[in-house]
Amino acid sequence: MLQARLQFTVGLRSFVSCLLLLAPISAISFGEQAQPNQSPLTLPERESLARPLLEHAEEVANSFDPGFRSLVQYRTAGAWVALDPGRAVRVYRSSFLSAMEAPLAFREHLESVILNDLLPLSPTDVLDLLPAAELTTRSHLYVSLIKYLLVQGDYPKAVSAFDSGIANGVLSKEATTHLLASLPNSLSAERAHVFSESIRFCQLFPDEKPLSQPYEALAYLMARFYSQMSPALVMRGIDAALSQAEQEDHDHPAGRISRISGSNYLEFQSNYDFALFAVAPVLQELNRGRVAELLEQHPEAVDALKHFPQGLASFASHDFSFNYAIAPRRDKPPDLCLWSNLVDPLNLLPQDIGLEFTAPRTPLPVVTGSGFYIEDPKGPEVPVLARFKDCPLDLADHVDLFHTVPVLRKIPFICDGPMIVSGQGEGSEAGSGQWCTYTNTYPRANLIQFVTQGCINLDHPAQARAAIHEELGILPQIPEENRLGHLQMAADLFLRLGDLNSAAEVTGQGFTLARATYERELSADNLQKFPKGFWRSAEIYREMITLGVNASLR
Amino acid sequence: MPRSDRTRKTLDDIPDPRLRELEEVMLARALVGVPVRRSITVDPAGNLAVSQGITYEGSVW
Repeated sequence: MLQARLQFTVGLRSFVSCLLLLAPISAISFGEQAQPNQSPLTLPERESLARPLLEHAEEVANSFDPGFRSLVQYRTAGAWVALDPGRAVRVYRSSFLSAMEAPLAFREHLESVILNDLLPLSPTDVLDLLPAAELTTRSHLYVSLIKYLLVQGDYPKAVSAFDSGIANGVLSKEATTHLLASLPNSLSAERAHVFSESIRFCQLFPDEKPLSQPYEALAYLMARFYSQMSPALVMRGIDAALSQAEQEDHDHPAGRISRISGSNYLEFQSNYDFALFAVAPVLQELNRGRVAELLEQHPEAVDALKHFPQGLASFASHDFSFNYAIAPRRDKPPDLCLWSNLVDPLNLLPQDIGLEFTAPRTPLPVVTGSGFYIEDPKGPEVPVLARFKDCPLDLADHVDLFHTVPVLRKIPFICDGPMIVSGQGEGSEAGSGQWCTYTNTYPRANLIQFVTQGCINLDHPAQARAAIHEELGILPQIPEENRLGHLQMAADLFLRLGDLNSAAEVTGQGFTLARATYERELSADNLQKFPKGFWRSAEIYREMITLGVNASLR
Repeated sequence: MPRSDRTRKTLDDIPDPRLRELEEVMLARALVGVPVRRSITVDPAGNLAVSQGITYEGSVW
């Protein structure tokens, strides 16, 4: 649970100090400066504002070119998830159909984000749409779909997804392994079907290699699951794997091939030698005469078996020791968790709707305080940090100390040329003939943010406000290309402190930055073939809108 | 819209009508509490970057 927030710090003496991570919400004071007569909008009020915007967007998007139309529909569908899931599915479908008409340069990217969003909402619709997707999208999404359905415990539909993949040119070794390992014993007929279809696929599409080399996938599946299959089926698979390896050698003679698994390494003269090595222990159980005959003709496979007696099972022992079975779970998929639903396991609290919503969510949520603060152990920030680290009551009287820390510090990134004495400054470096590329850092802004967060976490809002107000004057001094992250963090901290006017001022600076970025991008030739919704300026607008909604909507 | 809604007014200043429409959708998403989990951006050199957040392909959340 997010609410069970952790704290950890790495000693302040160390070069890298880790921020206080996710301080207990209960310890934070909010709203002390909330404007009078401006109570936050209720959720029904927010929803009533959102609906007409979405309905309008859906309507006008029909007049856009397919790429932009797909993007607007995609974002609109996501909003409908909170209001009308059935409509969300319909709009996601429209978005996908629009993406199919979009230029190849970004079609698969649109397809991928659309179907990944739609998957937890309606796997059936993903199964329906997937055959029409680009091969790259299909290759990834069939894996996702099969794994998702296994998590849901929907085995018949997982087998249907596998069948659909086979019918549409996709066989994933990984997904098939998960499927075979997960199907319960009561579905042994389905397991045999999956096994048989994998063999048939490799025989039908010997040159199809969307995710792995088919005969190697086949050899792997034989070695892993042969004990659960009928001898006749296993023999069919072995024959297919060996004949495909032979065909591969004929079509693409390689000289020598190498295979690596963990720390194990093998070399063979041919693909056939490797395939024989992989399946020989299985063949040994089914037809001793044949395996002896084959091994006599392929001494390299015999040598490999001396090192790895169980063939692929011992060569790839790490993989074979892993249990690929996916147990069903009833957790709500993260993609369906909303800020507005209090019972969602990843629900965000109202005060968390700032920075977190500006960044794509990862398994570890991007929340204020989850970053790292890096200090220069010899820099002027060290005594300031020592003075402020416990957020003293008199912090407001000593904010001038922040001014001892430079706004900008250039850190050498890559250096070359004659050696210089450590500790010399940049001027002497230039004189010595050494050259460096530099990266810009902003130690004063970083320090102020770090101290502010510490004060918030320690429930000292007055000191936090005194610290963060020092940042307002610095933000315009940070070059545009480096300013966004500082604007986000400053707005977020002001929101957490209930200082909505200052938060709105910062997001206002963010909108100015977005506009300036947009004007620059207008003249970038390489961008003109992409929808403006992909441009960096669109992302800045979006991030500032998310923060600004909470700063200004009252 | 609420009288003090600076954000909403700022959207009116977005010069491109289609981009403005998209950002109004993003405003609606923020209003109803739908996080952005995935995004596509392109840099000035024309390189696309897709941020996928959680996918069901790589891990079983």
